[in-house]
Amino acid sequence: MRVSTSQTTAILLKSMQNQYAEYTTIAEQLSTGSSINKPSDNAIGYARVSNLTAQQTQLEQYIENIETASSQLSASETQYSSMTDVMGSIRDLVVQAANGTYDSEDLANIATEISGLMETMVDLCNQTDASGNYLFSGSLSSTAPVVYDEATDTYSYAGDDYQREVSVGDGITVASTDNLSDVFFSGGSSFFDDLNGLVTALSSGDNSTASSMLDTIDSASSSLSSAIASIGARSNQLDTLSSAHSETLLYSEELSNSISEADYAETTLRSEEILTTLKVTQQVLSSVLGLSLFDEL
Amino acid sequence: MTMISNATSGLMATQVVMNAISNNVANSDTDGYSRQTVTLSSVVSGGVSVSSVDRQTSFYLSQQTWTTTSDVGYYTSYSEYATYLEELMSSDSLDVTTSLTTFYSALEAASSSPDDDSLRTAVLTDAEAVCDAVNSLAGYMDELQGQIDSQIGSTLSTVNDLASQVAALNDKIVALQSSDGDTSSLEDSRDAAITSLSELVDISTVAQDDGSYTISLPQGQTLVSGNKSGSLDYASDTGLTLTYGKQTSRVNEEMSGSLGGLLAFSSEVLEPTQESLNELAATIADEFNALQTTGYDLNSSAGTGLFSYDSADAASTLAIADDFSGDDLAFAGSASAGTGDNTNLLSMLDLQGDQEDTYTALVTKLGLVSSQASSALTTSSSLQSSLQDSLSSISGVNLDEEAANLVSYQNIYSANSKVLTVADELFDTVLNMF
Repeated sequence: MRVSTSQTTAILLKSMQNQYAEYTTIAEQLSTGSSINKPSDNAIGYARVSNLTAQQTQLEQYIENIETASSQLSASETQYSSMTDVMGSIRDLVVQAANGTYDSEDLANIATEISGLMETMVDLCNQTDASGNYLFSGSLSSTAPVVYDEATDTYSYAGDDYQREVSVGDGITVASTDNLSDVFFSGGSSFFDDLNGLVTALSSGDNSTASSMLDTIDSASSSLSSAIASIGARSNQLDTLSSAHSETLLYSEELSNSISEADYAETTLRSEEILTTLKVTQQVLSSVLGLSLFDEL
Repeated sequence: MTMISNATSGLMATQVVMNAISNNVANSDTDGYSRQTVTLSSVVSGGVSVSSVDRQTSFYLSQQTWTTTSDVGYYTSYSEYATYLEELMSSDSLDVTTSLTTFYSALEAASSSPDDDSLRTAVLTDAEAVCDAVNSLAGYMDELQGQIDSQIGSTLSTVNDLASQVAALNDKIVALQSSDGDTSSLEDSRDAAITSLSELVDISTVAQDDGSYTISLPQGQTLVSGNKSGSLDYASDTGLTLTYGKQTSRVNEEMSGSLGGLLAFSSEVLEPTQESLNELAATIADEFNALQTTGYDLNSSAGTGLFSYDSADAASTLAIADDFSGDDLAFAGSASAGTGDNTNLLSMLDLQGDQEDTYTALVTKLGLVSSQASSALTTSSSLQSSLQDSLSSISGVNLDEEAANLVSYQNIYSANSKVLTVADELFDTVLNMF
């Protein structure tokens, strides 16, 4: 074949340009560590990595939500356990008052003690979290749940029976709050009013209602224990979910890395090859350019 | 006397050959130059004469090259813009999926404390970021459309300019050819003009007997004939039109050449992507606002729309509604529920997946289009180089070949001079006999 002088140069230059272009792509992969630097590099891979990245962000958020919900639950649990302790002390006093060996002065002293413990109990019911929201008033988080009305000398529940569901997984929610409607205010009766009635009676030396109050106390105690058990069950569920999420997150990160990660060994080798070919092409070009019959004339 | 005239004709012919060689050497690196060869023939009455000076080229290969050049032009502009658009849409700051993910994460976070002011503010800030990403992207796409429009304009004026150049060259070539003049360099210029033209528009070229080229568009409409040329025009309402003489006709926009690539990218990729982005913006706003209005805000009032947009131009106008504050986020499910209720917020979280998927699918599709265009560009470019190669092996100058010819014709020239000297000496010998 007949070859023109400019053709030889053009072919060699074109080949050098192609090598430079490929080298640029490889250098980008090596510097970013990723083989997908724009969607067209691998459109399907891009879509998968994009979905995985969104999934990872969501999993991280679920894990954070689980931490928040767990700390809310443990705050509630702490208060409930304290309530159980206080309830135990109240029960001991009511048992003493009921057994009939105490005179009216003793009963009045017991009444004072019970009254003090009742105030502690109300305080525990009206605890707030770090941001000042009430733990046990359902959705009415800015309202104290247990309210004492001096005029009528009655206690009432100002919260509602709402439990906040927190999003902790795809389509999974867990109740992160609890309320007092079932514990102290079930069926229209109020534990605090009953206890307050006993205190008033004991103060005037009357212990006739003490033994029936024991039933009320026992039923409130059992409501407390089941509330604590329920919190325990939810905490366990959150722990299980959290470790499942962490595992999925790890797997998802590995998967997206394996899709987009540049193969360093192969890429480095290829870049060496290109550099070698480039050097050789340059040498060929310079020797071809120096070749001319005119020099021999 | 024959010897003298033979030698003289040899000297003259050799000079023509060496002149052609010098021209080839001088133009060995000139783009579009076709080397010249001289054909000599013997004369019946004795001596040698130049029968022709030929421009070495192949019209067939030139035509092939022009067709491929049109393909290269098409895919170059198409893939250049497709790459730009996909990089834009997947860039960290403009990726709508990323901003949606962040926005919904903020909502997830607020689900654990729906009455927390700082979490509500975070939701609002991240909603603003979604609007920003969509707005900026729409703005960049408008800018891109502007760039394409202006490139279409400059392409058309170049096309019209080149068409009139070809017509002018046709005119000169026909005139010079009829008087047996050397049209080589004019033909080279015309081929170069057609090569430039073919990069911009899809053309077919037919050689006429008088030496002129007729150039027509894909559907047979004449762009150049003899010394007349038409002019192309584009407007979004009338489309692409060709005015030739007094007639104006519509030209099919589906053609190769960078003009076709620009028009195709604009109508097949950019406009549909803009529409999809508008739809997505409207969907994000509508879906979220619909839930907002079924819920209740921090003050137990019925919720109002978080996003606002102008339906004529949703993506550019997507914004947070005027005076909307974190308190206005309607997380609660009922008016009687307290501030700690997140029932409605939980429904909002369900919107996330589809909205993100829509955007990712848009970018993925663009990535596929872009990678197809760039591989088509690689294919047509390599076909173009191999055709240019074949053409260059016919038309290109090889300096070694020219050097060898130069030496051999130099020898012939010397030989003819020698013949002339000998003839002169013979003549002198005869004269000296007397």
